[in-house]
Amino acid sequence: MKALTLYELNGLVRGVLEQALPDEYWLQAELSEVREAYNGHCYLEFVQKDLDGRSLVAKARGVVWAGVYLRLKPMFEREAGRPLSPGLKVLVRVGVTFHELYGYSLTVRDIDPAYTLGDMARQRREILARLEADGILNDNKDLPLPVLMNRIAVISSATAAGFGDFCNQLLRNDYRLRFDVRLFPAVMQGERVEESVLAALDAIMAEADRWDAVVIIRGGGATSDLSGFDTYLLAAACAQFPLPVITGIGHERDDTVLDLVAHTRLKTPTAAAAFLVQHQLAAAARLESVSRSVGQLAVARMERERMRLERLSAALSAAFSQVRVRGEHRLEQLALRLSHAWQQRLAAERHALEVCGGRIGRAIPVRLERERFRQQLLRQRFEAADPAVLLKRGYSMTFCGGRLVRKASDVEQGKEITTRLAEGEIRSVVQ
Amino acid sequence: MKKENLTYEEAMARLEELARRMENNETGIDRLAAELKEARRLMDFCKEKLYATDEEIKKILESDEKE
Repeated sequence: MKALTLYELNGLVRGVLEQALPDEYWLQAELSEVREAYNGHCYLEFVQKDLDGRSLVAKARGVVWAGVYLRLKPMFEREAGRPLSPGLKVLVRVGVTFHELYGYSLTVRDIDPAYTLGDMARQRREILARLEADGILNDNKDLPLPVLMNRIAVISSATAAGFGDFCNQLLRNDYRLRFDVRLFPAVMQGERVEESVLAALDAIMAEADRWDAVVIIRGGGATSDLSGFDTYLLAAACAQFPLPVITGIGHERDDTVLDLVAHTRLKTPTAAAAFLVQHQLAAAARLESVSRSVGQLAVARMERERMRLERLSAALSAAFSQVRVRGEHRLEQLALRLSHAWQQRLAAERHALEVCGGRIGRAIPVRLERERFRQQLLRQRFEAADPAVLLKRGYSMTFCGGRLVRKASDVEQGKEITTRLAEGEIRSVVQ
Repeated sequence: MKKENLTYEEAMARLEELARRMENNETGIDRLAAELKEARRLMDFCKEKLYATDEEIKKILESDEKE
């Protein structure tokens, strides 16, 4: 029997395979290797793991020719939200080929991103279910955000644009709000995400009292590989972290598990910064409001106290004036009583006086009468002595030379004498 | 109340307590000035934590220029 060359044998295998498996097949498998070659072709390795996912039960090489890859790559990334990468479960339409030199290989003609999406969603669901079963799913969400949240530990890649955007937005806020930011660098895409983010979390944990919150951010478009953020260990670490975790890992599609366990999920680093600024603004507003109300309340309190004083002093002066009125009233009454008493006394005195006067009045006429009688007696006595009275009775008076003649011898012959009668005088010459 | 180790939240809680006391007329007029002074001190403390100083802002702007 003639021996075959290797090439001939491989050729036979190739012929048989091509004959037996001429069709294309939809294949479910996991990618274990993805390598884009310089010529535009993409080389893959497919694997199948056993049920507990520990050991491989099947493995095959695959290739996407440049012409096909040019079309499939953007379509897959757009639809699945991630690039083809190891660990991804894919549904691909393949042809089976065998090459004499390169051996067994699967040529990829098409890929169904919906399958991958579904698988990722399933994985996320499983992780979430496990977190829930552990009772830690909402632990981070249940943390109260500190009122003052401005000491921020950032997990990001130092070179990523996202970190710069974040710092700009945060530190150059329009309100002069203070923020202390420190970067804890980590790899933000690819296979090392889980490990390096966990290391960064550990570093923050070591000085947890120096920080108010953890912010996990990265820039990047919708097509970035976020599979690293969909792991149980990372999600569990974040869920149980003692500080609130805020994410802004730059994607528009489904939330990663990390987003779901984080305290607050934001789409971009800029949005995360804006959130922090808003939170501080709320704290500032609260401070402002309580400050204002303390001031206003103190002023109001003083005003009330002033009014109380005023009321008191008004009441006091009213009371005082009442007392005064009462005093005045008493005084008036006193004066009245006094004047009353005075008048009474006066009347009494007057009466006494009158009585006295009466007695005097009665005494006077008696006395007068007596005096009059005395005077009458006196007058009668005087009248008895009056020459005129004697003249009227017929007596006469003779004067000679102006002197009363009492004896006839007092006159000489030839002398003129005057005889005064009661009425008239007689002149005669003595013979 | 001791000033060292005072947290922002404690300061805010105390401030709100002072405001509440004033609101409910619990502050005696004798204590009013003292409590107002305390409130002032707490406000300054909170503001210091909340707002950046001119120096810090200058530093941020300078670091921007270097980039």
